Amino acid sequence: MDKPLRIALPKGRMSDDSVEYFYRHGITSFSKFSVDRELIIADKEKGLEFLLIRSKDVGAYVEQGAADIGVLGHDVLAEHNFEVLTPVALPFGACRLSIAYPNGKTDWQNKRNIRVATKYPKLTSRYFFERGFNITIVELYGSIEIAPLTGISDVIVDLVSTGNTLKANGLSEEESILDSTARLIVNPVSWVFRRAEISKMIDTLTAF
Amino acid sequence: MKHSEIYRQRRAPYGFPFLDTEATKLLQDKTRESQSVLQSLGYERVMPPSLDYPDTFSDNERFDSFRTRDHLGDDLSLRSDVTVQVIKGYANLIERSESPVRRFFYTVPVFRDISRSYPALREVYQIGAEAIGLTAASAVGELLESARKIMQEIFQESPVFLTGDVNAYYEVEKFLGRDDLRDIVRNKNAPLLAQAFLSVGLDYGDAENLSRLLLFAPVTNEEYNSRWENLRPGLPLELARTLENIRSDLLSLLQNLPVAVRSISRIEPLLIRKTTYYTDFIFEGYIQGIKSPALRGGSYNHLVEEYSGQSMPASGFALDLSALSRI
Repeated sequence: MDKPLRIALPKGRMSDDSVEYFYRHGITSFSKFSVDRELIIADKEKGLEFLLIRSKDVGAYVEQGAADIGVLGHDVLAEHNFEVLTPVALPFGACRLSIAYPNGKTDWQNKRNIRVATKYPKLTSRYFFERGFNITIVELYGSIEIAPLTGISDVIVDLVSTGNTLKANGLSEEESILDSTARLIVNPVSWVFRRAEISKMIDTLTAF
Repeated sequence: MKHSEIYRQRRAPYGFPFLDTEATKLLQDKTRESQSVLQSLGYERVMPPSLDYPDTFSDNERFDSFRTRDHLGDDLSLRSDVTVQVIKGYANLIERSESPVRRFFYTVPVFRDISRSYPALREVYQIGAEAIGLTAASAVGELLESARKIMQEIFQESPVFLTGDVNAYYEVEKFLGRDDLRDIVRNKNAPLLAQAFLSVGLDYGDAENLSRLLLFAPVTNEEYNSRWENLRPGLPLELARTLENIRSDLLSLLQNLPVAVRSISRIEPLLIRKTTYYTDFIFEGYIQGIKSPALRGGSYNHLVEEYSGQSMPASGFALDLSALSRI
């Protein structure tokens, strides 16, 4: 029997959305992962194997060939420039990468050197530099919303889906830098050697 | 003494490894096997210089890291690509040559930055072949057949070849009025290409389907043909006509390949190379377990004229022998 097709998914909401979406298209034989803490889950009936890993690691796993396919947000893909192929935009994981500032501090653009807290230093630098702003990036890994409240940044650039977290932390959304949904990504060598299986999956997801 | 200084004293620079006796023997054996395949097919060995004027190399391959100067203060660069050097050398021989058809090969290290996202300078050991004076259609079959034999011999495994025509890329670029599509095409980013088609007025379905067909063509030519026929009526006439011509050239190229090569070759409708001198068919060869294509090549029909004044087709390939250590 052929080696199962290995699919890397980001743990959490996106892996739940992915497996449900795959199930609706007949790609998987189940619509939910079990609540166990297993990180490698087989779908023997469909010849698939899922790896549940951190979202940033999905790109690296697929790039290096540890997984043939992955699901990853367009935001992470655009930030990290992984050497992977992107056949399909998937209709879940919708969010936007936005600039937000503390309520009432509308003069933040007038500062000579704007401090920007973000998990997305490349996209953020590019956005501000293209508009002629002089900024200092404060790279953080979580709870970005509290950065202006604690004084380490003037504004933030972070993912927003409903905007409730911004509101709860006294922040106003200024502008969206990037609109994102999930993407199916493919390892370039897997595309060459497992083209029939991957093609079939792409066709099923897009109903050509 | 600092730790980094001790490291520098005792080690070769990162990316430029000292090959031990075992690695050297492996490389030497595989090089000899490759050379004997090419010699048996009438290829003659040449040895281009390690340094050359930076303009010799394709625009995207110049790196300050590999620059030096000659005694007159002119810039020189370690070679990042050998094809143009071979053509320069051939241009000097052309008047003396009895037959315009010449076949050359070389085995040399080249110097490159191999990563897109961070600096990764490397010395890459290459074997390459250039067939000068043969039309693209006949040269590609001959080159792919010799590459197949070499790859089978040195990797003990059959490669898969992807074949495209660089003009399909330029046609799409012209149609979209953009010159920044290389990364989108190299990463086969179908959603971004579809957005570009949408922005020039294609309807949503055609934009999506065309970008997927160009970047993720189905396995069989029958399926590819049937999807293309469904799509074609919805496309602007000129784009449809040009892509159709390129498609039939590619299908006919595939049809005329030697049988052993045809069975491992796939059409890649939108393929692009980093080097900019290709004018016609281009191809890549993959080996299972190696991250990037071990073989790259194609036809470059302007280079001989550029250096010798005589119009003459030419095609070639370069095979990365350093890939041996990455299996």
